[in-house]
Amino acid sequence: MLTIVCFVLSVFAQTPSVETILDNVDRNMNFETRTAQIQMTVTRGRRVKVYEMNSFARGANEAAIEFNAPARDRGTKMLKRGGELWMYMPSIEKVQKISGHMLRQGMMGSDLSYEDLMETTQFRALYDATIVGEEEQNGRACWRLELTAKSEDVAYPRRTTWVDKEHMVPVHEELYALSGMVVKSWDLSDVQTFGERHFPTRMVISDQLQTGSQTEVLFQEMSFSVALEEEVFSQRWLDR
Amino acid sequence: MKLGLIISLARRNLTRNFRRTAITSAAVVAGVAVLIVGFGLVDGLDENVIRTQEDSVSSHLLLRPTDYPTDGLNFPLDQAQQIDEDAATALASSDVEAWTARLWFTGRIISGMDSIRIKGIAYDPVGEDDVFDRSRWLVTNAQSGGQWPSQPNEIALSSGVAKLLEVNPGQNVTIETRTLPGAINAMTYTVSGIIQTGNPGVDTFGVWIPRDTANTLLVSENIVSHVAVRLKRRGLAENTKPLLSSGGWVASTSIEEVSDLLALNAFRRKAIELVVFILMAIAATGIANTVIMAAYERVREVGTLRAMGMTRWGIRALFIIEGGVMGLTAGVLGSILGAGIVEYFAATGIDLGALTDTMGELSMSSMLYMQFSWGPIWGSIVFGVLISIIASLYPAHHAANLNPADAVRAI
Amino acid sequence: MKTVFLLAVRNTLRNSRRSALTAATVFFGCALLTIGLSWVVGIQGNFIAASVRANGHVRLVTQAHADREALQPIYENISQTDSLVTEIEAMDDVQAAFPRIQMGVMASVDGEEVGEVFGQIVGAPITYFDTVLSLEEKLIDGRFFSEGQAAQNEGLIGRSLARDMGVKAGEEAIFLGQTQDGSISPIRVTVVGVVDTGTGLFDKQVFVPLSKAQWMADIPEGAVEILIYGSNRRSSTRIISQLTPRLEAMAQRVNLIDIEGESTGLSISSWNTREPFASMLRIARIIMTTVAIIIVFITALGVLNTMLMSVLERTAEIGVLRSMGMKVGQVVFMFALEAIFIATIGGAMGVIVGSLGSIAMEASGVDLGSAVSNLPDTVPANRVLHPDWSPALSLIAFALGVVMAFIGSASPALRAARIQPVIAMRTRR
Repeated sequence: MLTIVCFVLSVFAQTPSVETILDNVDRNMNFETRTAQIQMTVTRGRRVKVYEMNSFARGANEAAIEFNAPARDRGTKMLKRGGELWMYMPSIEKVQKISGHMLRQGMMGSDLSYEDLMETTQFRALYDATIVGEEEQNGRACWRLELTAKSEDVAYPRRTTWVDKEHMVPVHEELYALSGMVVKSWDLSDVQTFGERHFPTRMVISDQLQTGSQTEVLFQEMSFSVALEEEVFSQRWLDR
Repeated sequence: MKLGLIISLARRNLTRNFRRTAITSAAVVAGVAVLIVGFGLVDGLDENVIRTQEDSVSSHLLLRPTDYPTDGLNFPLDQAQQIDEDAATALASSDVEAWTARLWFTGRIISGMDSIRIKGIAYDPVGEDDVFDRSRWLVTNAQSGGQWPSQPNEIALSSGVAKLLEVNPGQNVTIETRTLPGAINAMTYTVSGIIQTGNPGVDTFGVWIPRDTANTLLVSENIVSHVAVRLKRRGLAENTKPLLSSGGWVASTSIEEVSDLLALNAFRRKAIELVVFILMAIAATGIANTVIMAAYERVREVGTLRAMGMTRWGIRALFIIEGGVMGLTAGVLGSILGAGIVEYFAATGIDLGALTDTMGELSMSSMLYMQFSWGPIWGSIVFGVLISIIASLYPAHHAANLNPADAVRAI
Repeated sequence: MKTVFLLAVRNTLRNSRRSALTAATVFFGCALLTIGLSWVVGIQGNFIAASVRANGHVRLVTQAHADREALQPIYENISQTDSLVTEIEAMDDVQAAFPRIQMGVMASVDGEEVGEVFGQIVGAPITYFDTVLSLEEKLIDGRFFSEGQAAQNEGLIGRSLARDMGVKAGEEAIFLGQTQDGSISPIRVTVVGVVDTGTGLFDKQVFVPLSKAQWMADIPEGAVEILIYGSNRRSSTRIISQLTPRLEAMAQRVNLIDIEGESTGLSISSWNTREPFASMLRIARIIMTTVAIIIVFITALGVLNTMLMSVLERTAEIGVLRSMGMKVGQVVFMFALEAIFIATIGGAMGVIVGSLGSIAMEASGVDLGSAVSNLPDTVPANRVLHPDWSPALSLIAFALGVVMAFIGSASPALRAARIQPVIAMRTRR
C-alpha cells in the first residue's frame, strides 16, 4: 500500500504543472537583452540562399537586425518596435514600414513571415496551455503541450509544443490553422548552455501547406544580458 | 402638271422596268442590310459586355458597403457587413425582383508546390438562382462531369484556377486564408466542379464556396461584401439606385460597372462605321450610274413630256421621286433583311466558343449576341432614300434642261 | 475574230457616254475596293505589329517557364543569356536577340509613401527600347537614355503610369519588386523621360536597362526570356527551323535547372501561335475576310448592274448583229471585250486613285483617341490605325474589277444573244 502511495506521489512529483514548465521555458527562451549572429538558410526548390545577420533584441518587443551577407543584401536593416515593423533598404536608401498584407510575406522569401517575427514566443500572453502527455521527439524525452489562443485574432489559433524535459526548451512545434491543419512546423535543436540558460541554436521552419521550401536559422555567437544602447532600437539606427 | 400625274408616271416607270429597278436597288438593299447588321453587331458587343457583368457579378444593381474598395484586387473582410434592417427594407421595394449576397475574400490555393492568390467567392446556393442563371456556368467537358458543391467539404474552382493548377473535379486542394478576426485558417476541399461565367474578373482567379462552408472557414457570421440586385428590368436601375444607396451601402448600375469596357467598343464602332461608309459609297455609285444611264435613255420620253407641257420642275420631280421611291423600297427591303439577320442572331447568338478558348483577357463571353434596335433601321432607310435622291439629282437636272425639240428628235 | 475585236473597240468608243458611265462605276468600285482592302490589311496588321513588338518574332524561354506561363514565374529563367544571344544572332535572318525581364512592381515617387500604384517593369538592352519599341520617337517629356554606363540608373516611364504616380521627367522614382526568391527588392530610378507608346498596355510600364532588372530579380547574368527579331514577320519560320535542332545543346551549355532542381530545356514560340493573339488574330481574320467579301460583293453588284443594263438596252442591236450572221459566241465575246476594255480603263484609274488615297491615309491614319486608351491592358493595339497598302492589293482590286465586268456582261450577253434575232430586233427600250 505504501509503495503504491509512494509510487503515485512520485509520479505526481515528477510531472510539474504546466505553469512551471512554461516558466522554465520562458526563463530559457526569453531574455532582457540578447545579441547574436544569425545565419539563415532559405531553401526553395533548387534555390538555396544563405543570409547572415547581426541581431539585437530587448525583451520580446524590440528587435533590430542588420544583414551582412550576401553582398546584395548587406546593409539591410529591420526594426521591430512598438508593435510595428520597419525595414531599411540600402539600395534605395529608404525606410519602409511593413504592414498589411506585406506582413504575411516571408522575410527575405523565407518560411518565416514578418508576422512570425512580430508575434514572438509570447506563450503566456497569447495562449492557454495544458500538458497532454509525454512523448519522444527528435530523440529527446518531452512533454507535449497543447496551446490554445486566448483570443480570435492570434495568427495561429492552436499550437502543439514538445518541451524537452531536461533542457526545458521547445524541441518541436506545430502551428495550426483554425481548422486544425498544420500550417508550419518548427524543429529546434543544438541546445547550448549560457550560464543557467539553455537555448536551442538551430531552428528549422517548414511550411506544411506548400511543399518544397524550408528555412534553417542558426544562432552563432550569442550573448545574453548584454548592455545595449538605447539608440539601437530607434529610427535613427535604421537610417544610419 | 399635277403632282398626281408625276407620281403615277414615276410609279409606272419603276414598275415597267422592273428588272432595271430591281438590279439598281439590289446594291442599296445589300448596303442597308450590312449597315444594320454592322450596328447590330456593335450594339451586341456593348450588350455582351454589360450582360457578362450582369449575369455573373452585379445583376442590374450592385451594392457594396460604403468605402469598400472597387479595384477588384482587394477584398477586406473587415469592411464587409451584414445586411441590416434598413437595407433589407430597401431591398424589399417593389422594383426589386430578387437579390442575392456574396462575400468576396482573398486567400491562397495550394496544390503541392504551387500556390496562387485567389479571389474567394462565398455565395448563397439558394439565393443565387433567383438572380443568376447558373446553368451555363458549369464546365461539362471536364473528365468527371462536375457539379456545384453539395457537401460541406466541396468547393468549385473557376476555369482559370483549375487550368493553372491542373486540377480536375474529384481532386483535393487546400485553401489558406485569414478569418475575420485575423487568425490563419486552412482547409482541404474536394473540387466538385469547374465554373466558367464568361467574366474574366471571376474566371481567372475565382474560387466558389457555398456560404455555410465559407462561414466555417472565415468565421464570418453572414457578413457580405456584394449584393446583386435584379430589378424587374434594367431600365429601372437609375431610379432604384438612390433608394438602395442608403445606410451603409453604395449602389452602382451594371452599366457603370463596365464603363471602361464599353469605351472599348467605341473603337469597334468606329471601325464598323468606316467599313459601312465605304460600302454605302460603293452602293451609291451603282445607283447613280444606273439612274444616269436611265435618264439618258429616256431623253425621248422627257422630250415628249416637256412638249406636252410638263415644267422643268416637273421633270426634276419625276426623276427625284423615282429615285426616292427606289431608295425607299430598297431601304425597307434592306432593313427587313438586315433586321431579320440581327433578330436571328440576337436570339441564337454566334458561338465563338471554338475560337475563344483563351480569349479570357478580352472580356468577351463566348456567345456573341447581336442587338436589335430601331435606330439603325430608321437611319438606314433615310440613308438609302437620300443616296438615291442625290444620285438622281444630276440626271434629273440634265433631263429637265433638255430642249424639248432636241429631245424628241434624239433617239 | 478580228472583226469582232474591232467592233468591240468601235462600240466602246462610239458610245462614249455609256462607256464612261460604266467605266465610272468600275472606277469607283476598284478605288474603294483598294482602299477597303488596304484598311482590312492595315487593321489586321495593327494587331500583328503590336503582338510582334510585344514579344518578338520568336520568343525563347525555359520549358519550365512555358509550362507555367500563366503564373509568369520569374524564378523560371535562363540563368545565362550572353552566350545564347551570341549564338542566336549569328543565325540566318536574325536581326537581333534581346534578353528581357518583366515583372509587376509597386511604384512611387521618391520621397512619398509607397501607395497602391501598380506598374510593370521592363528590363532589356537599350537597343531594344530604341529599335523595337522606338521609344525615342515617342517621348512626350524629357529625353531618351544616356549613352553607355550613364544610363544604368535611368528609366523611361509610360504615360499612364507617370500620371498615376504623379511623376515627371527628371524626378526620381522607387519601384518595389521581388527577387526570384520572393524577397522584397527595391530599385531607385531617375525618370529621364515619359513616353506615349499609343498603347494602353505599354503606357503602364517603366523601361529600364537590363542590368537594373537583373539586379532587382536577382538574376545576375540572365533573363526570363529572349526575344528574337528577324527581318520581317515571315522570318519566324526560318528562325525556328534553325533554332529547334540546337535547343537541347544550348540548354545544356547554360545548364538550365528549374525550381525543383531538375534540368529543363528551352521552349520557343512564334508570334502567331501565342495567346491571346492567336485567337484574336483568328477572329480578326474571320471578321476582316467577311468584310472584304461584303465589299467585293457590293462592288460586284454595282458593276454587274451596269453591265447588265448595258446589255439589256442593246438587245435590239444584238438582234441586228445576229441577223447579220454573227454567231452567239462571237456576240458574247464582243460584249465581253467591251466590258474588259471599259473595266481596264476604269479599273486602272480607280486602282491608282485608290492606291494614292491609301498611301496618303497610311501616313496620317485614323486617330481613335481615348477609346483605345481604355482598352484592357492586355490588348496591345495602337491608338492610330493605318491602312496598309501594297501593290498586290491594287492588282487584286484591278483583277476583281475586270472579272466582275466580264461576268456582268458575258452572262446577259449570252442570254440576249440566244433570243431569235427577229424578236430581239423588235425589243423596245
